[in-house]
Amino acid sequence: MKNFFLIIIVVLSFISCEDVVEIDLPENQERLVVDALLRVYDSLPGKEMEIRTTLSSNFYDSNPAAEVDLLSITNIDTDESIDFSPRSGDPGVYTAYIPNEFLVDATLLLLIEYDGKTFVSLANYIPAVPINSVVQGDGKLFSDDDTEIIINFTDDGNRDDYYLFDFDLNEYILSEDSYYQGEEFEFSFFHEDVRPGDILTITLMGVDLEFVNYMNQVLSQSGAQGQGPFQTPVSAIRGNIINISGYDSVDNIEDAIITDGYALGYFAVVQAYSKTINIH
Amino acid sequence: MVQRFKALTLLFLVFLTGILHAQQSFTLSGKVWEAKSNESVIGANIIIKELQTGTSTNEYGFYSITLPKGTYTLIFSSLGYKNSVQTVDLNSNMKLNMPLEEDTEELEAVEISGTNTNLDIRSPQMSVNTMTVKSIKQIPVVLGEADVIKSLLLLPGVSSGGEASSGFNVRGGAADQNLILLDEANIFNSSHLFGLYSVFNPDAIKDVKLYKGGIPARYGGRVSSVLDIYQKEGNTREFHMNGGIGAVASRILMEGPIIKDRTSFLIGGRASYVHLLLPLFDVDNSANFYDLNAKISHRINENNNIYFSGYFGRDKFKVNESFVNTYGNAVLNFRWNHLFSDRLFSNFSLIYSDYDYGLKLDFVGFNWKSGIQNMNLKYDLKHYLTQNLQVNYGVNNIYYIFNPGKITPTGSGSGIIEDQLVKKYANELAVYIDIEHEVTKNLTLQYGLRYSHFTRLGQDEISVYEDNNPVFYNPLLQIYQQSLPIETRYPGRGKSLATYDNFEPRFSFSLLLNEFSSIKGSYTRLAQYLHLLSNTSSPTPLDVWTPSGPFIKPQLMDQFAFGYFREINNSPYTIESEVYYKKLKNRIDYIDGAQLIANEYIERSILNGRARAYGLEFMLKKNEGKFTGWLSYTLSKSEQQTPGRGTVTYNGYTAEETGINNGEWYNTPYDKTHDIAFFGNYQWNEKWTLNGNFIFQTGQPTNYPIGQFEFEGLVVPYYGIRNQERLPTYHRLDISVIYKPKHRPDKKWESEWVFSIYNVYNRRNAASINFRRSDEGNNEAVRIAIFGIVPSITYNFKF
Repeated sequence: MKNFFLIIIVVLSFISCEDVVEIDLPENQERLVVDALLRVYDSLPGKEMEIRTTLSSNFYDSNPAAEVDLLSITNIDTDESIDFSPRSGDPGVYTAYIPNEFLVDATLLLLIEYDGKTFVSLANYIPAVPINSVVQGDGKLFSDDDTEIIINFTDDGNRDDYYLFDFDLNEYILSEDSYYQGEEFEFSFFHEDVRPGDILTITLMGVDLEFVNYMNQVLSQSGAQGQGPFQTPVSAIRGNIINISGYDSVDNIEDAIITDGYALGYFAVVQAYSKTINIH
Repeated sequence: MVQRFKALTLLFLVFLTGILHAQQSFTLSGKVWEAKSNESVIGANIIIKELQTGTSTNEYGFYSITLPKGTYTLIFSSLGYKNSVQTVDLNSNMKLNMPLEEDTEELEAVEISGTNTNLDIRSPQMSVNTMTVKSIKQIPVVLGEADVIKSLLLLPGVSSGGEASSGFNVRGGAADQNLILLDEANIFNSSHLFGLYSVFNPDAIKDVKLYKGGIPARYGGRVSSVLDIYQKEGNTREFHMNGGIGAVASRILMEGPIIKDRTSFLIGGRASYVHLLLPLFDVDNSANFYDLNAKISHRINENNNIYFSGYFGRDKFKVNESFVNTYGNAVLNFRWNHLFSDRLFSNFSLIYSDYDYGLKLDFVGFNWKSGIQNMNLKYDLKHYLTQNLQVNYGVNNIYYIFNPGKITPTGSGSGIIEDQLVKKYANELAVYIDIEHEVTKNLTLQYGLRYSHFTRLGQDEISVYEDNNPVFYNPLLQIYQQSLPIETRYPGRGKSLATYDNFEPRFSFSLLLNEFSSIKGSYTRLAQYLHLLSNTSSPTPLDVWTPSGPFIKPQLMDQFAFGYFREINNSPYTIESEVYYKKLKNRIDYIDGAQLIANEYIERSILNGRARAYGLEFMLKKNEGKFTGWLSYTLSKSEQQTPGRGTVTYNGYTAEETGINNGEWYNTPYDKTHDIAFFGNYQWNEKWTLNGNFIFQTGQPTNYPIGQFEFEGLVVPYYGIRNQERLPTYHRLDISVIYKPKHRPDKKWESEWVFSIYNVYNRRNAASINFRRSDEGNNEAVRIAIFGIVPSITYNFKF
């Protein structure tokens, strides 16, 4: 349904004109940003996971990397922890090899120490379903340059699912299964800027309702939707990473006090399935 | 003489004793109509010169006044008509029907010495603006298509979200708070083409009245304003046709007698050109709209008239067959006017109206349909008791069916399962009494009470939440989240889920300071049981209406208004100035990230907040002469607040709810501090008329990002407190020239050319400022302007 807004906006933007203007923006209050969407693939026993930490910036500036003092993930059920280490030459990127069994069906705690502050987040592993097929169609939506990608998958009829589709090139679609519960389902996505010979990786991920709400805000505020007459209210896009004080171990995390200096970004552990497609 | 009755006593008397007789008084009653067409005239003034008092005709052209025995000079007047003076010897009850001649010459008004013919100064009705179809047609608009709602925007206290935004905002109220009535039927969506046009065909319309405050008790159901539009009845004397050919749409209207002087018909149609947006895409697409107005009026006898009227409008918007979007209103309406006596007028209405929205998305494989239907039964009586007392009372019942959405697969290949989101049902019953009471020569009161009773009827399925709380505040993350239900109940249609009762008192007064000026004040309480689910700055066609119920409470508005009205000594200038203060309870607000479309459990995304608005309005008007027009200025503020609901404890964490926007007051998207509008019409000579309007207003509230971050390859601007910033100031000048070739007396055909230029100095008014990453990879702010300079030509004809 999101596309609908997009279409109205596109229509209006055709009859309207755009120009770049200078706007003075309010001063940014710098926050830690954590990009921790961990994708777990069945096809591999485990994988090097990557978490990126940056600082938020004024809209016109770029986001500097944040070098944290500690970054670890703990399996709450087993009490085991894995520390991430900085990737050399790539500041703000932390990696660790994590076996699938550490993440699957677990509740996980992300712990970050940065600038004398402690940040934590909890996530549950969310399952997904495999992609049946990804094919290129010949449909067009707005222009003859559109490339249609048709994705087909079979929903699990035993649970309510939410999906995040990554169509590559930073294009994402969110969906919930309420209208195709347990069905084989397919839909089309239209890429604007791909050419024959391009190879795209299409990923289907299982997510939960909280992440859908978060990602909806991310997509609407980052996307072409803009701030027209059909703008939805904008927000600070709070994620699930909080700042606490008085923390000493996972066992007594309840005693910690939540403070206001929350971090931006999100921590989620999701099952993912990917397929690649050669554009012809 | 009957004086100083308390409202309740009066109520009692009215219902128990019926008609009261004043001593040695007789009733003068009748209808006022246009001489050429027999079209009744709404709001015509009837002045009794000797008594310096008068009355005016109602929505069906009827008037009644009871006077002591005597000889009187009556002056019948209405804007755009020649005054008609008649002397009567009133020694028995009398019927006097008055045809009025159209005033085509635009001469200076005939001054009747010592008599103020402007009853508006005297009437306690304030905060009301009447627009004649004539001025609506003169106001230059974009692409030359005369438009009711765009014209209203030039009035004080009325604004909109911009050029391509639906609806309008009155005194800082939301677009869903306007009661829009077309021949007494509710219209749910007033816009075509995403707000470029409104759904009313100006050719078919007779009278447009906008109540911004002091709303009489006979209206209810929306808290901000009432836009009361009446369609023409149709010419019962001779067949006429008129129409126009414009840049975007063409229209045609036919009217004439079926039985001469008794039965008439009117049928009008308007359609836009299919290819409106065609050249803008390189794929097959179209956007068009059409509407049809039809009416049959029949006079059974002196005391009975019946009317059948209908409206049907559709917008269709198509891209490549894979995206098809159709929506519109349909209205069917039967009315019966009956005169019980020369002092008791009644109108019975039976109305069906619906709004449908359909969407086909082929690339996802589904069809979508949502809508609202209602059946409306109204019985209104106007009781002209004495010269000083008029009592209006009536009853109104509306039954609603809400279809939040039905989804069906487009074909066998689609994996979509057919699903009907749970339909909602409600009933709204209201009774009212409204008294217009001339207490002394100088003091007139209007007081009334409306009692409304709303029942949210049972539905197939409803969720039950822990602590009856569908929105959960997560103290850990400090955000609002949707609650999951603890059980689902199947209450069935027979039960009621929630009921609300509200007493809505209305009071207004006018105190005549002297012959030419008055002060007026009013207090209005209104209840609104329906809410348009829309978290965009202005409504979109796919927004759905939802009724109040167990989780969503009715909106309750209190409005105080106070004004000074003055006619500048015997000149055609009038001044209207008002201040108002509005307080609204239970304005719905949405949690961050709320998805409203196809949301079966909307209660999980809604909190009940509040709103307030206050302002000052000023209008200088010139009604007669070669030059007519007005200048209006509004200074106002409109804000809303959704505070937290207290302390929550979850998993051992306790926190105070923040509310939306940290619980602070914030500007509504339609808060405009300054709003200046000018409209002028200059009748140069018989052939040429010049029109111009100018608008200057504070830019509407918007949001600028306070920062940005990166997530999964996306650059995400994020925001702080809502609606803190403003778009650049909006201003625009439009002009039009109307050329009427000399009308040959031997020919029936009359025509005119309208040349107009919208946005003369090509101001790039920002409709929005978007923050995005450019193709070069740096961030930029982009201004979107909808219309630059737009010249257009329209050809109108009639015969």
